[in-house]
Amino acid sequence: MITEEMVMQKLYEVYDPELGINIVDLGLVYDVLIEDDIVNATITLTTPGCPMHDSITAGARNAILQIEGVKRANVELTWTPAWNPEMMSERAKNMLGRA
Amino acid sequence: MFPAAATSNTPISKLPFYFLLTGVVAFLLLNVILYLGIPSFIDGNVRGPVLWTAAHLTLLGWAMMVAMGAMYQLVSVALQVPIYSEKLGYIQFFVYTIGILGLLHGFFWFQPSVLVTFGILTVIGILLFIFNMCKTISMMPEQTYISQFILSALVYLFITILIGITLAANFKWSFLGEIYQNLFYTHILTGVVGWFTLLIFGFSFKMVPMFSLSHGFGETLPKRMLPITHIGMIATILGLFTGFMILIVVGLIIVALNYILFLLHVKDILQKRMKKKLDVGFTTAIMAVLFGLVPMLLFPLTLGFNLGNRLLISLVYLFIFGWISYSIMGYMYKIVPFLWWTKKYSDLIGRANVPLLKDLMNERLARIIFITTAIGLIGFTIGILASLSSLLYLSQTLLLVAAILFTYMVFEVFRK
Repeated sequence: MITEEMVMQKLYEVYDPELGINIVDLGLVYDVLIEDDIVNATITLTTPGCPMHDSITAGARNAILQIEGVKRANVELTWTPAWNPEMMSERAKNMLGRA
Repeated sequence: MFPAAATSNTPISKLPFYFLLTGVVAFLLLNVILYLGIPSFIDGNVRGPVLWTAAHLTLLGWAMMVAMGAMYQLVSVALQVPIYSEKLGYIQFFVYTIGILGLLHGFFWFQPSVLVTFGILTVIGILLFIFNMCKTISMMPEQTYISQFILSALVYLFITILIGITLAANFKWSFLGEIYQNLFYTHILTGVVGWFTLLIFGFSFKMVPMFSLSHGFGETLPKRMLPITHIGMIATILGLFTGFMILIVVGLIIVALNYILFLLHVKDILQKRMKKKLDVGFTTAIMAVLFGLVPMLLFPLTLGFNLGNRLLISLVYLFIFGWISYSIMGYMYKIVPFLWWTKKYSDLIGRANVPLLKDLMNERLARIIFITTAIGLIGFTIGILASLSSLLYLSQTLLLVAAILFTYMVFEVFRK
């Protein structure tokens, strides 16, 4: 059975290549919904028009598809609510030098 | 939560590479040609074939080439619209490059007919670029202050090239008479302040917060800056044509005030950043803003109090190389790895371990390059001011070494 924890664990492996921090710690993953073998994830980016738009969205999809039993991964990008630095984990803040 | 309306606009085409890599080759070449121009800097007579060649190689071959390549990438990022026509971009690249090569030949050997012929080709290349960009920007559902800055920069570029081709035609047919001087100074003003400076401002509004991960900064200042720029530019140009020095000085003071507003805005963004340690490329781009501040503040004083031609030349040098060229070097450090990473690794993310952007550039080497360049720039500026031949040659040697290493560093990215 696919769990949200398994999905989040996989998304920890997707890094923002500019910042060098994974998208979960950056607070970019807003929601994960699992319906049998289909995973629907809603993510955002730190800024609209982020040049890593395609890469991060595709990266999240690729990572989820690696979970055993997942047949389809839908990754939807949203700008609402807008991302803000408070959404980052303490670890991410520490990595950026501002805890 | 609502899905993002914007679709992906991330360009993965080869088009920006054509421009950026040709620009880097021009950068290397201009640093060789500048050696030949040192005697002119010592004499204080900077008008002549060698420095005309160096100036156009710098502004058209290096700065403009990179600006165009970067725009083919960044417009879609900063404005969130796809490029109107990539095919036109390729056509434009070849027309423009052939035009530039002929133009440089015409300047170096001073052949007015060649200048006019290839000047027209260069103008066509730039007009195609302006058309492509204006069509792209017109596809935006709503204009932003960033797009307005870029549009304004394109208008100044249009004026610059029209004057440029008129000046080239004058070399052959000598029809301008006394108005030649006014047009010549306007050509420089609209080119380096109107086009390049506004363009760097426009993209910095997006890139500075993006690279420093800054949020919550004010946006009132940049929204007020554009009308101030136009007032300053129009006043200066009117002053140039009417001969009223006070109008030129007032115009340049307004332009300088606008530059200070830009600096304050950048300071505000950086104060609200989350990323504490900024990388060397980005720090270089910020350092370039400070280099540009010096001439911006001193231009009105130099002209108003007639502090001399030598000071004016050294300030123009610092403005072109310290502000425009140094900014471009800094941003290249960010843009080239991003383009290459997107092309080579974006499909692998989430599937395999992929390098980070910073892994594609040698940061230690970059630091050496940027510091050496900064020392060379300061040395060359002082060398022009004090007419010190040995300092000019020494500084240009530093700049050439840095340019060779810079070229190596950029091309090395493609091996990673």
